[in-house]
Amino acid sequence: MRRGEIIPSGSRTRSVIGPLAPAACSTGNTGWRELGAVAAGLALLAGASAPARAAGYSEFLDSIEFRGFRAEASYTSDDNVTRAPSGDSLRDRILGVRVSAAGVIPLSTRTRAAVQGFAGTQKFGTYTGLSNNFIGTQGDFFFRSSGEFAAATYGAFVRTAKEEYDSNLRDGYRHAFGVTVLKPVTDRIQLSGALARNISDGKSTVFDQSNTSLRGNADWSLGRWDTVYLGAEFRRGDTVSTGRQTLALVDTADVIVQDDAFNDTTRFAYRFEARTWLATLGYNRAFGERHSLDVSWRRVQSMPLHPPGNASASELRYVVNQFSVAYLARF
Amino acid sequence: MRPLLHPAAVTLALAALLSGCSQSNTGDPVAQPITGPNSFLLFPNPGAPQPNGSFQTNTTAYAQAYYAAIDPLNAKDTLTKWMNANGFGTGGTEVAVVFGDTRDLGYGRRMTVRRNVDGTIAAMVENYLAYSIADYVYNRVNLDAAVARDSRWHVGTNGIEFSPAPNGQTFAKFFTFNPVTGERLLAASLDGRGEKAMPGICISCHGGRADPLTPTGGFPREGNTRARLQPLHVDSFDFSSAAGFTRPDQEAKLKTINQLVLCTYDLPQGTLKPTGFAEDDCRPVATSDAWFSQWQSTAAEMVKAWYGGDGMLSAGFSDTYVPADWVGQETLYKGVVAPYCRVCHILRGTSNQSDVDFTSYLFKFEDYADRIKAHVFDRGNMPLAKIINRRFWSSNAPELLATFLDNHGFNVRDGSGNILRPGRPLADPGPDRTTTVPATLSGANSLFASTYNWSIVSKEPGSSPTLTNANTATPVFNTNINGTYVLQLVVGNGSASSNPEQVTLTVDSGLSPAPSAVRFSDIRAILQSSLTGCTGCHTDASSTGAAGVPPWEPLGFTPPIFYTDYNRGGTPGTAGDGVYTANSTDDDYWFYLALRGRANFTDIAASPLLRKPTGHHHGGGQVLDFNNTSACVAPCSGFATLGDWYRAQYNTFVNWIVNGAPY
Repeated sequence: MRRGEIIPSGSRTRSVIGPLAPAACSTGNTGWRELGAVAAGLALLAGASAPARAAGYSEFLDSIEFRGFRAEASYTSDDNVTRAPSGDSLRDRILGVRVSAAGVIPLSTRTRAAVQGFAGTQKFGTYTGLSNNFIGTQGDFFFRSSGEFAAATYGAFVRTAKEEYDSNLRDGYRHAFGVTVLKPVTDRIQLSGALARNISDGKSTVFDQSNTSLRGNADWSLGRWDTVYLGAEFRRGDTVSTGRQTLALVDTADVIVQDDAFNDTTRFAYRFEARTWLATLGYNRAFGERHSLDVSWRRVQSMPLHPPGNASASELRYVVNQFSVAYLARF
Repeated sequence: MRPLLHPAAVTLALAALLSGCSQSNTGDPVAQPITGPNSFLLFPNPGAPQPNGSFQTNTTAYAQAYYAAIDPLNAKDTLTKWMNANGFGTGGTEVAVVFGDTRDLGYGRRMTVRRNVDGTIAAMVENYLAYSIADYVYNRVNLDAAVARDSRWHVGTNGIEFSPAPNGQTFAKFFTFNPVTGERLLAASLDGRGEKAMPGICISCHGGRADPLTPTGGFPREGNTRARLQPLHVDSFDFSSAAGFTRPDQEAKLKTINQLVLCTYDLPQGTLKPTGFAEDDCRPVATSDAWFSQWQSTAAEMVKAWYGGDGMLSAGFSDTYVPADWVGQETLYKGVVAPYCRVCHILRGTSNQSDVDFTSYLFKFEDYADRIKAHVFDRGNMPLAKIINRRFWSSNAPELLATFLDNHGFNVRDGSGNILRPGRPLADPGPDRTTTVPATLSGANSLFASTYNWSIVSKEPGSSPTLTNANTATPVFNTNINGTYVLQLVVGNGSASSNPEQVTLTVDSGLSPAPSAVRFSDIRAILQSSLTGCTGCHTDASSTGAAGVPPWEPLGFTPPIFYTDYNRGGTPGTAGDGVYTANSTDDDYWFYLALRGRANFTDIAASPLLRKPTGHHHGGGQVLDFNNTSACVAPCSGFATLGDWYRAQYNTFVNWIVNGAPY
């Protein structure tokens, strides 16, 4: 088991792009509500044949294969928690704890559903306004075309989480939905990918965000206990950068709000559309079936989609490096 | 056994349930309601109110009249035309600087100043303000936008030229242009508080006057507002770190601009040139008439001091200037006057009445203690621009000023010693006066008030005074016995009440003329009376106007308004003819409208017509001496003393203004 392994659609770990919290999105709200309506409709259709009998609910519960609890404790060093351009970035250390519980529901020989609930906390050492607690849930539907070893597993997921910060403006909800694919290449190498729509609904408009991400991941098992993994992700859509006022950012931003998570000086949160690349390189060392230690490095680079003519790239681009050590347990 | 409730449905339903988690953006900053007065950049003595409640100096008509006076052929109705007319880009001296105006208007400013070979000077200023960043404040982005000439934040372009006007006089003229189209504008919103008319938004801090329009709708003095060019206080600017725009990069240019501004300040009449100081070579020597009736180039000494004094030998700006008459009060000067008052006040005043330039503590600033309290702590319209006002209230300056007022008998502190700020309700029951009854009172000049509560504090023995509509701004007082009555007004704003303020009414049923019957003819008679002696100075006999030409500029030591009868409107024979018709062919009507400019209808007690003759900042000293015990002779027969007669005349002035100063 390694970080983020739990379900192919991705676990909720620290967001390394955009704000360390929801940023903004009015359109995102609408999109999510529509999605919710669709999901609710499907739920009603699926359950339409079910008269409300207590026995049915009991049988449903019996059908869930409980996969146990997972816990993660992590320490992360982040060299740019403000997601600010060079010269305006702030470094901090973050302690994180996350627990989750998951269950799988076989639907047929080729399909299954999974549900997961998770909760956690992040504590920032210096910029405590970024510290937050979160709770959420995720639902997945999987399809595998055959039982052959190399057969791919396709999935669709919906995830939502509530986040509460030690500051005010970032508080809100974070949603995602998308499709996934998981394919073993050899008995040591496994590839996975996901296309997702990510929506954040913050208390401030600047933290209302929506973006689309395309992610790929490769796991290489060096042996029974050791895994190296490499991930790459591209996001296109809203991101938020917090920094002092510059003409370049002001001209770029769609929304500007004074950020309440920082009190070292006056800083503003700028929401703008960007293309963002994330790369992750990690190593996971398992200690038995239930424990592992995970070390990873993530690098994020983001550039506005619509930079003003008077700005140089260095005035707008932000780069983040995160180094994490995490202890993971399953029980 | 298959579950009757499909598990996929449960998953989706759960997601659907949570998908309802959304929220409104309650964390976003909400536009705060404007508190305090919205009168920044408007003259605190706003002139006659218009039918719609606005003031003439803030009307489209005022702006139109101004441009018509300084540019009758509309030859400068676009920025391009104006720049061409002033020779931008041609020969002569031309320098450009970019700076952040942190103290006054908050803009990033790109200023180009030039002096033509004919001596005319013009300044073109592009203003940049990034409104998107929350509030109207200065921030570095404004400066960066000016450096980059970022059109997104270009909010306007101002033009000032010091050049001959159509009437032949050379004076400063002010223009503002649309940042996109370049069209000349009649009004502009300089501080995000709505559009205000030209030229008031400029000249209110350039030493200009706010005199009324003439009966023909013309601008007084053919557009000569007496406003001046402002020198640049370099220490209060913010500068970019970009090459070419740093302070060191621009220091020499800034000095050049200040030298060019100095070129527009007259040398005193009789000065022999060359003075021995190169910076004076471009300065005209004032004619006797101009010098002894107009602004005394007070700022010239300060500008020179910024660069080492006469000769201006210092390359860099350094402000350690304290006028000689402020020695001993340096803390007050440096803590209050220099940063918050001087920028506008030093361009004001005339030789006859220069108190308002605040260049002396003892003879000028100190004598304004009552008005300082009224404008700064009560009305809140000083300092006159929003940013500088905000900075004032976030500094130690209010404490310094409150201490000054404490020492002069004016209390601006609450019971706990905290400084009172404008915005609290303040009652104004109007000035003490003699009246007939029934008398309509007015508390309309109360500040920040929405409720009114009048009461009778004292009365004549045996009388039965009444107040009708005592909870309105305009109750009616009546009584059955002549004598003295003290009334009290308390106003409120829904959450707080004012301190009570009293007004003393002396009821005289035989008063003639009755307050409601006072007309301009009565006021004219007082002003022209030999007992007041007003026309000894306020006379057209000493003016530059030729026969049949309005005397725009007075001669030495004469004031800017004349109380004598003369041909003001170009129609001979109607001045003082005893016929009063409100049209442009009636010279008396010209006189009347000019005189209305001496009334302050928002703060009646502050009307120059009341303050000047009673000895407040009046070149002629105290005229209406209520304590004069001299015996009365004609035309004041019937009064026990001359002082009594003076009080009666003053009372007539009060009643005239209280009743709207009718013609």
